[in-house]
Amino acid sequence: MFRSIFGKYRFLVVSIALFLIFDLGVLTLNFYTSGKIAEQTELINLAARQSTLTQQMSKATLYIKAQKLQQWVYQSGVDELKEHYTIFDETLSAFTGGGLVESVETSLPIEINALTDGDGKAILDEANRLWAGFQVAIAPLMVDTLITDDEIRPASAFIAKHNVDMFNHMNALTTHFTEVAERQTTLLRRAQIIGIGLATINFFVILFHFIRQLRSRERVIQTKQYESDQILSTINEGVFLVGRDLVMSGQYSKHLETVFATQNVSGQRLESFLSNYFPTKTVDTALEFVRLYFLDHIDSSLIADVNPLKKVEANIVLENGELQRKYLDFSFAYLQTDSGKPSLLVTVNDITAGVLLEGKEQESAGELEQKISLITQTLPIPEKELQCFFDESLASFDSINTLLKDTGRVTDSYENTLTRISREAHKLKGNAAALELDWFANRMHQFEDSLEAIRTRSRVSRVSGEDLLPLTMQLKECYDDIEVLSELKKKLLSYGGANNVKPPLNRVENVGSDKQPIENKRWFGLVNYTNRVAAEKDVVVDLKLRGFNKIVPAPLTEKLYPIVVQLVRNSVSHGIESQLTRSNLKKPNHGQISVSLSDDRKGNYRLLFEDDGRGFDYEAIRTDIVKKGLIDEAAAMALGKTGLVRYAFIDSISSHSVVDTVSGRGVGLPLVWEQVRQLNGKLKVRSVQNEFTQFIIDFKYEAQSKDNATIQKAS
Amino acid sequence: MKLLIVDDSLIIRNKIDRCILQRFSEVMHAENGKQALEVVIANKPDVITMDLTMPHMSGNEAVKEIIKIAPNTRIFVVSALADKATAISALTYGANGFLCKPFSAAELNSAIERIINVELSA
Repeated sequence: MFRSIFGKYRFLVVSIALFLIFDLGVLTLNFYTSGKIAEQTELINLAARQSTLTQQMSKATLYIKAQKLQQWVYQSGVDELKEHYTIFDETLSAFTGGGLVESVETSLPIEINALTDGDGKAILDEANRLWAGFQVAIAPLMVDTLITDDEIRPASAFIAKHNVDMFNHMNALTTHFTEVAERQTTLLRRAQIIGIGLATINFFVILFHFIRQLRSRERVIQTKQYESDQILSTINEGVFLVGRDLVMSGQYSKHLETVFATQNVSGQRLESFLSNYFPTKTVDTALEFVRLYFLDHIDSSLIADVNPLKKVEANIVLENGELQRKYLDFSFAYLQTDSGKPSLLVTVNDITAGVLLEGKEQESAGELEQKISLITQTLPIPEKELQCFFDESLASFDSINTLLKDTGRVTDSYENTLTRISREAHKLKGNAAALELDWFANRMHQFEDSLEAIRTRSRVSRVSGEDLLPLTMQLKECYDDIEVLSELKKKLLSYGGANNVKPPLNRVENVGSDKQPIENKRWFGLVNYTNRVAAEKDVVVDLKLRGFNKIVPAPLTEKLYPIVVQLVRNSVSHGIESQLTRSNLKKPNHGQISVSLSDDRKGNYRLLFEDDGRGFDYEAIRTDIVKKGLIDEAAAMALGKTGLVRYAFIDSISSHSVVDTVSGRGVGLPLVWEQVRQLNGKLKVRSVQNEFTQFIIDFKYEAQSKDNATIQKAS
Repeated sequence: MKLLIVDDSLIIRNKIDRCILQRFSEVMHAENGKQALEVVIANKPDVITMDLTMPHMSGNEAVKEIIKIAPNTRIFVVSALADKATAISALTYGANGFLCKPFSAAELNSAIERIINVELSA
């Protein structure tokens, strides 16, 4: 209980209590002994008076005797004797048995105790015995009758004889009382010395203890301070305290200086400190948030989610003046300090590396997801069709690569080279999109974007080979992807995985009822592709394929397929109207696209592509021609429909002002024309506004022995 | 104890209603701040879950008004973190805590318990 009440101060309390006890003891003893000494002094005075009284009684007796002999009046001597006798007798009686006596100093009655110690008692016994003789001798003188000679002579003789003895007894008594008083004084002195000594010792014990305690605490404080300094200097977090006044404390972790690249932290107002690194709005919100911790109605554990300084971007000016962007994470904890003042412990972590890593991880995950998506997209594609795509793509990459390498070295202009690259890229994009390899199609779309940017730049300034470097990089990535994909596909095939994958049902179902050769499956995929592009453009289209129930030789497919893909894209993008528009025009709800391939068995082929859409937008073409600066407005106005259609087959001319992943770059029809030229074919275009558009491609094709071998093998 | 759920989304209101434990003798709904005020005046709920973005009267305005007429009501803001500043304002006006959408039943109930135990200085 004592321990619990006084706790760590119990030693102090005990020490002070002992100090007081010693002092009180000395004081009590002092008081008691002083009383005794005062008493003894009174006794000494009384004993000394007894000595005097002995002399005075002798003197009075001798006076009476002398007066008597001369027949003079002696009454005054008798009165004096009586007075001395009475006082002496009372005092001696009091010494012997205790009682009241008249004080020497004050003449007041005082009580004294009987003398009990041996030496004193022996003196008293002697004095009393002698006093008995005195009493007998003096008694006749004490009566009120006349004193006779017979009475005075023996009394006088007795007193003369024993006066000195009585005087000596009383002196001895005085000496005895003096000795007792001295002993008491000595005792008192000793007691005082001992008491003061003990008190002094106690004082020094307390002093020593407190000095030791102070030193111990100082050491603890120093240790704690050292530990605290060590922690604050080694901790990998920025730590500081903020009071209710939103002023930062003097003590903070060394890392805080590193995080904010400043040593100006101590005692700063939080607002001005944060303002160095964050926008005003963030600082205002942060201060309002910090103030919440000091509001009584707030549960601080339920506000961490609204911390505006969580994963926050800070712009920090380094010592060399360089601006560094960091991502910081502040966390706050409410503290009640010893002084009773609430504080907020603020911890700042530099999470820049984590955030950047997270970004990279997300990027990697995205890339991985894209690759997985690409692999997933390739799984349903028949092996031959996919292989065909890989081969064509690699051939196109080689072609683009050659063009890029030769740029600047050959006489061909940059513009022409870029146009040719653009066509190849567009063909690749179309092929990929037709196979639903969206990821690859998007890559090619990005490639086209980069290409377009360079082409635009080339029109206003000279383009160097360095400008084409990004294209080379992008091409390399695409090339690598195709290589990786090709390898993966081979591995999957070797495991038998891809062979077991069945193509989506609609891919086959929409082809038609005729028995279709497996070599033509790439063509069948167009139905699905058309539907997807149509869905993107918010139109509904029925694609009908005719003449594909016979095997189309692979080299022919390689040339014709990109043509049809581009025409389908163009048709869906620009030709086929929305269902509402078609309804208003009294057309079937579904747009119709028909692709037919026929031959006369003599090597004369015809590819007929037709749709029932809105036809060529001649005015849009006219506008684009003028806008691109190919001819002036007057010349453009002079152009008829045939002339305008010709321009539609020139690069970058489009009737569509918005570029998207499907169309709008003005590359599709030039690509068609390029392919027709490669077939040495003829292209006819017929278009009636809001009625239809037809593309008729006539060409000769004779299967080579190598082709036959290829077809045979495929069969 | 009475609970008032204030949210313009019926789905969220029902979700909170489903998630809460049998702690409340009465659970009331309000679609916006204005309705919430009416319910507070009429029924004096003990705890309110308050969305911030609502038609007619926003959660912030509602918190400000409710604290004036029923200062002992525990309010916690249940909102998505589109605008932290708005949420902080609501807390400054007198809301006692914040719960971020989406939340689990355990998070909701834990927040309710904490809010109920907040000692109000008033």
